[in-house]
Amino acid sequence: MKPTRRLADLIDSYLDQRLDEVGRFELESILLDDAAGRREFWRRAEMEGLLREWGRAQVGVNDAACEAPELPRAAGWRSHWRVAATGIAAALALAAAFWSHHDKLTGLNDALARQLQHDARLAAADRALPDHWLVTSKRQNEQADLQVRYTFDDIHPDLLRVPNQAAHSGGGLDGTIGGGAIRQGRWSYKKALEFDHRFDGVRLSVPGTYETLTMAAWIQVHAYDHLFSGLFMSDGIKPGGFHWQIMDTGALHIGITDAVPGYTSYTSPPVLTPDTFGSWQHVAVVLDLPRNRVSHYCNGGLVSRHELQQPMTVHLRSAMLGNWDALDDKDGDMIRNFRGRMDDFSIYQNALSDQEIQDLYQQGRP
Amino acid sequence: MSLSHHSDPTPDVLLVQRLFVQEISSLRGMLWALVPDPYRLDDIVQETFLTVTRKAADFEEGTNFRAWLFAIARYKVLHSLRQGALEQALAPEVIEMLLADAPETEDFDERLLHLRDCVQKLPPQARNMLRLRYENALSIADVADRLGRQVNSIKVMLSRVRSTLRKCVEYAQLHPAPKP
Repeated sequence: MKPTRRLADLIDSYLDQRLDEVGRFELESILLDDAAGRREFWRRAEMEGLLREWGRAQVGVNDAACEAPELPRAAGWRSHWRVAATGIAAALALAAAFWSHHDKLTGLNDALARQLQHDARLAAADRALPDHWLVTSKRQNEQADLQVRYTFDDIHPDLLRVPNQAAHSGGGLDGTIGGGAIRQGRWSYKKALEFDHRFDGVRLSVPGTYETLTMAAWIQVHAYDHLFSGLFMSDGIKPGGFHWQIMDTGALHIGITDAVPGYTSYTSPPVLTPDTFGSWQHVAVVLDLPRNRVSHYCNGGLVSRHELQQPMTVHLRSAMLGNWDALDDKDGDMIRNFRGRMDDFSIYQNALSDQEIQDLYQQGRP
Repeated sequence: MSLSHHSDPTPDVLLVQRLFVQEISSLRGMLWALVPDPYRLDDIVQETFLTVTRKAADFEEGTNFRAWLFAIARYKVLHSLRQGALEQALAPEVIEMLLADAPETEDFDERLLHLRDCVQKLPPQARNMLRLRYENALSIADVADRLGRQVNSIKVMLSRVRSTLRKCVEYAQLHPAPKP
């Protein structure tokens, strides 16, 4: 049998991940019966495979040299997920009504119409969901003490720049993506940056010294490959350097470099344990020198509060999100890349209260 | 199954791992069509890597590494199917038949290079669409949204662009540019 236009359409829809049940059944029966059909499948699939690999090579630093050492990972800690289906009844009904009308207009066949309805439902849910967030998110950007805010929604694919959205920061605090992939965030319309490879991360440079400081982020952990996974990491080990990281137990960890070589650290009980992998979690840390304390938060709640052992103003300087540039420090734990996604990150120059952290969580929870 | 990071790998292991890295693109290129979920695909590549490493001593230098690698990967795909771990995949018997007919792509990397040139020759609009779809891994619906077009028109454009690229890559393979 000569490959037909219909078969080509079916294969393309399958490769585009847009084939519905009816179409899949039709495609399967052709492929089972017909060797020419299977050849046509591979002919089209090969181009898809080439394009996917081309796309992968475009993102970040996916060269073969860094792919090799990364492959043997601890299988036990790996956890993958499927993004939960989301929907709002009203939006669904509206979209379905629209598309059944549309169907009459264009006379599309049933299977295609169903697929389009499905897409419209998703698209409608996409637009409806973040509305409440968009409002509170904009309000957050206006906070006087907000220094850095990245939401990763407006990354230009050519520039790899993460614009700082903090309204009163005075500018100049955009991040630069060193590696990573743009993926789905808390909602299907929201973008996130996925850190997966050894050198993935975002560079930023934050001037000034801080006696009070708050960092907050929405993250999704995928795996712990190392003792430490860096969230915000000042480069190297320099006096006043600030290291916000997760330990492989799931504990939140702050390390502050002292003036004389030395390091004081404040570790929470384990919170981001493997059962949280793949789901969105809000984490925050507050440094408060006047009150002499550091506080860790997870999903709006206080996890642990520590008295400062070595009060020290913090000097963030040049730093990375999701990775650590150890500079000339060659200790055993210099590899600290985070594996997971981040779709919101902020730095405030004041110490937010327990209630303010709780509000941030409530306003942003998916 | 444990991989010690502390003892030095044997020459067998070093050899198969080096060959594996050379073949990883063509392996992934073949698997995309069968495993639509990129995370499952990563898992299968990972599991294949572990098996290849573990069985390194079984591979005889000089024999066809690709055939050996692909046979292991195919086994991993079928194993995942049997475990019901591949959602959205085609029916297991269809995949088995497709695997039996899978072409032994010898020249994947060469064609990847040609593809790069062919993409450069596309009009900017088409190139932009490809980048959104394959580099940013957006769904067709998201691509349509970004470009302010109907989902259906993106679907048609993608099909046309792919077929143009197929012809371009085939032509480039048949008519290699003269070496400087």
